[in-house]
Amino acid sequence: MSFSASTAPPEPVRVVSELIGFGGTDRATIDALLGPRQRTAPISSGTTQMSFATLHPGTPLDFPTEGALENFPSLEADVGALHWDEPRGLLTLDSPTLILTAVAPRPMPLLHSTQHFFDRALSLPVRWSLTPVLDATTAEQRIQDSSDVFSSTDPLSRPSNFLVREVSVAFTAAAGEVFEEGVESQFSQALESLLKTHGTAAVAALEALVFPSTANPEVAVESLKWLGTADHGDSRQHRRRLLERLLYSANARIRYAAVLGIAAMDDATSLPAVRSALKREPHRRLRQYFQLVVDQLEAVQ
Amino acid sequence: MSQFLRAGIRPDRWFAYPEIEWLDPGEIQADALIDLRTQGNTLSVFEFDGTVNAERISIAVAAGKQKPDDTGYAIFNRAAVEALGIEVKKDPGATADATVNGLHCNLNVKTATRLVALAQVVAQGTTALILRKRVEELVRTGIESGQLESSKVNRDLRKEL
Repeated sequence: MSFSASTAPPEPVRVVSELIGFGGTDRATIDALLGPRQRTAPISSGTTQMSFATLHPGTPLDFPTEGALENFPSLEADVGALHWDEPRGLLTLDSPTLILTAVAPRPMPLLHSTQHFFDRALSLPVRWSLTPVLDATTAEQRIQDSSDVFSSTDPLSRPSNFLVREVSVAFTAAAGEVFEEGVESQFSQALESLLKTHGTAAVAALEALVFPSTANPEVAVESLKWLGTADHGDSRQHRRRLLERLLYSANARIRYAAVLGIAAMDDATSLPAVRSALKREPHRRLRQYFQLVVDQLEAVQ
Repeated sequence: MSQFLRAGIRPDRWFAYPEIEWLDPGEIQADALIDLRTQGNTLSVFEFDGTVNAERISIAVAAGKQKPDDTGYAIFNRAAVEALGIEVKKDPGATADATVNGLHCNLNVKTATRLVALAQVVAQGTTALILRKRVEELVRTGIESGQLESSKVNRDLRKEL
């Protein structure tokens, strides 16, 4: 596998990823870090870099350059939320998207919000590893694809600006629609059409619109419920993983919709994710709903 | 205690503080009013006294929808509704469940001000969720048992089941 940077900056490529920290954490530190009210601390969109080295605030960090990602010179990760998985003793930094950019390696100063987070994490001697969901071959294919034309048969398609705009238009139009239980919305029909035309790239485009906290919650909830019911086999895994990640959204309504989407998929593969989210869920009412889904998926299993 | 049940709600619209951090305690989301859409200034509810369970009432309403879906319901205090000056009028329901129809009432809300006050009463009650898969099961068994009159179940829904 090889990769060479071109003079024109290519568009970012989104790769689903999970960042997991190991060892050296203790409950009191994590509680202090996350605050008394919840174990999921939203971190406003920031950019960070990871290293196998011990984290120290203010230290420029390099991404690992070994294994599947060795040929990518620079990685940036949007930081979504921090979780403390008590039973497993793991600190997990969720990264909804890992953005690979084809630029020369360079130290990247931590942005303010992320810096603030690491300042608070001063006492955490954490080691990080990067676990991309997609393998290197996949990632390379994606990074080489600079076309705005996508095929529904290509599950690796990234969202083009055009497609993000298309989904955004659907979101905007949906803001004037009243969503009712048991009634198919025009919005879900529009999303269905985009999914059939653009495949997984449409899901990635939707992801870009649902993650920001500024998303209209009514529309976001409708879109996530639709994600669970969409009749599109090629994108099924992508949709499921997106819904699982959104179980940790800072927005309670998004978490609610995500678990409903998972319930609609009725796939026991999601059971560990829902169980884990249930343990971390700070609100009683949501825990009840999560438990309903756990019960349903256990019956499937 | 005599109560009312409002079927077909989305529980997330009724999340309050601390689930919705930006809400002040006691406040409700504006989106909650979507679940209290009136027609002719009245709101459709069901008497809930425990003789017919909440799930059955909700399924009767869900059986009239186009497709199986997650559905929620809210149970709230009747006395608090009447204290707002809202007239309660018994009115035969039009669901596929004859027993449930006997519990149907219209709340003559009349004004937007009263509707907002009613929303506060609803928010002080309890909300619950029935997952789509459970809805499918209950509608299917309801039809099979005769609890739901098949011809009154939404045709599109029957096809999906």
